[in-house]
Amino acid sequence: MNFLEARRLVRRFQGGEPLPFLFALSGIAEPFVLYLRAAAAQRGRAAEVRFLPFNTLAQTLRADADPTVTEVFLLLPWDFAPEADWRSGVPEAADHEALRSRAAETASLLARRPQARLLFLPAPLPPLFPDPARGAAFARSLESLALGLGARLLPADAFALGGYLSSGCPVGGNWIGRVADAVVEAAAAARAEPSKVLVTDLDNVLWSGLIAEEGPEGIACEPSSRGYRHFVYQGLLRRLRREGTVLAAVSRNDPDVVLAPFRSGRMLLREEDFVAIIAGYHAKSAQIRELARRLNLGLDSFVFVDDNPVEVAEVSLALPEVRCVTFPEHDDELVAFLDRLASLFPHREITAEDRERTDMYRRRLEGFVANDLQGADVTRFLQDLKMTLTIHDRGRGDRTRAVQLINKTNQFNLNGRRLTDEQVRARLDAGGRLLGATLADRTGDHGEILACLVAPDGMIESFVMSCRVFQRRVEYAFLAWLMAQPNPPTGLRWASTPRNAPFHQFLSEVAGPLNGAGVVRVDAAAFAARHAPDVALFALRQS
Amino acid sequence: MMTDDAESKLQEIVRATLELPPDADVTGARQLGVESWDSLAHVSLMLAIEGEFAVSIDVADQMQLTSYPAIRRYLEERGV
Repeated sequence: MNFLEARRLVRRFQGGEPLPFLFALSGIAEPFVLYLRAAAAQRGRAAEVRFLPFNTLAQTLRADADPTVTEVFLLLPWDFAPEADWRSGVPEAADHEALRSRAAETASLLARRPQARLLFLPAPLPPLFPDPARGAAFARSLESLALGLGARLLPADAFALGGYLSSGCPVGGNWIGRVADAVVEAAAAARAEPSKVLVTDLDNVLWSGLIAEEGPEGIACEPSSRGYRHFVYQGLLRRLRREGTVLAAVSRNDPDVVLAPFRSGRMLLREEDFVAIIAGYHAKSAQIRELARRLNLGLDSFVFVDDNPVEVAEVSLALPEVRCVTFPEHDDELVAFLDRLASLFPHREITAEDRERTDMYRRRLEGFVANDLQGADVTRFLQDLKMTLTIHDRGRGDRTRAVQLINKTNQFNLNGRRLTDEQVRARLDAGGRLLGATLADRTGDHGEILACLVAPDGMIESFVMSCRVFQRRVEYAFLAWLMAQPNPPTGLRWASTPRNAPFHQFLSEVAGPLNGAGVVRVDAAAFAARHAPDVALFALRQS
Repeated sequence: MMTDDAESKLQEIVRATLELPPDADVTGARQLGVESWDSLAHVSLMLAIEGEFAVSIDVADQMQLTSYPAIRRYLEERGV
């Protein structure tokens, strides 16, 4: 989160449950204020932050903790070993044993505050010792002390030496939003007990790829190329399951489709490692709520992992007790992600009961199926995405991507019909229209994600959309736009296929109950009017 | 040449971090002439610029960036 984003969030946010906490940092903390408030606002909370006076962290640790105050410490290596503070320069000589002893003393002071939430920023140390290897080992020992206290490790890149030297603020502008988010997350964490249930998404999380589009052979989860990160993730889940964490999966898919990879023998995780693998097209929050009810576990013991920010927002809004973790898009965020996930399920010792927990809960869940309860309204989140939908006339120029989408999309597909480029050209020559749409938002450019072929007779013959952008209301906005144009389509040539349940859900919502196949009529003007709010979610452009 | 969008963001950041009115013309603002541009505001301003424009500003540069034109020129030189 950058400055302007944080400012907008804070200005828009009103009310919210207060989140009072002490943010303890040995540098200056004031520049964090806006970002802390914004991170709290994102969680529906009003941050009430108190700081320590500059450079008084060491004194604070020597005073008793006030049990009524939530303390969040952002620790730096020199909070353990003051001689290592860059602002003091490089010491003429450093006594290794004395440094170790002081660090251990600080650790014991921190250990006296079991309710404190600790974050450790492993900033590099100045060259303290004649032997560089000793310096590296000392840095690691500080990290180890912090981890032993239960501190969450932040990425070392968050430290900015320049800013720290000039102002005392140890975090750079490129990281301050993320560090503030970690601080608020720690402050908002209701308790120190480990989470119990990990609910994971499947496509592009448990494996690379989209099972409904690419089939079991097209996905990757083995220790090679694009499957590697998912192999590592599965390895962590396997370990957590063994330690007593209850695993469940929730996916927007058909049930029979998602089970195929588990039964293929290619994955580390097997079907029986999960208490439930829930596949359907309804709100994930509703499925998680029902799962919690059936397991008789509080939602605050649940952790949800998904790669899609819209799904994460939906679950966060509907179930604020659930801790949501976004599966990283890039490899360089994987380590922090895995660290964080593992830290949510700490286990000091593992009992026989822990090992048998999954089997016990599986028995409790026999007969569990996906339900159709409604989820959260994500409108505000979608507005914040600042989506731009650009509609392209693919009747002119390059139509390769649009034809490709028609021929490779399975789930959001009007009828599953495949058309060659030649067939598309024939429709266009006879007066048909081919439209494409590209989507961009503040998270990035999603590329061309939609294609729609209107046949010469005015019927929509193909309408497909990439499932990457499900939940963003793109399909509603596009169709509303199309229906508001001169000579709108007169209907859609619908056909049910084994894979197009998402389109069935969409079309039955906008046009009522459907048969297996046939022409579906839609009142253009009424549709455009009804879905104007969906259009308003986007900056709509034409090219 | 800085884009209009970038320039508009920069002006918004300067107004916000220095707590100036939304319609204040900041294109000629200098630290010495703006009372609220104290050392703490300067830290917030530098952090906000780093985050918004994905740059990392060295200490020596931070000390020089004491006017809107200087900041604008600095960012332009870095391709913003």
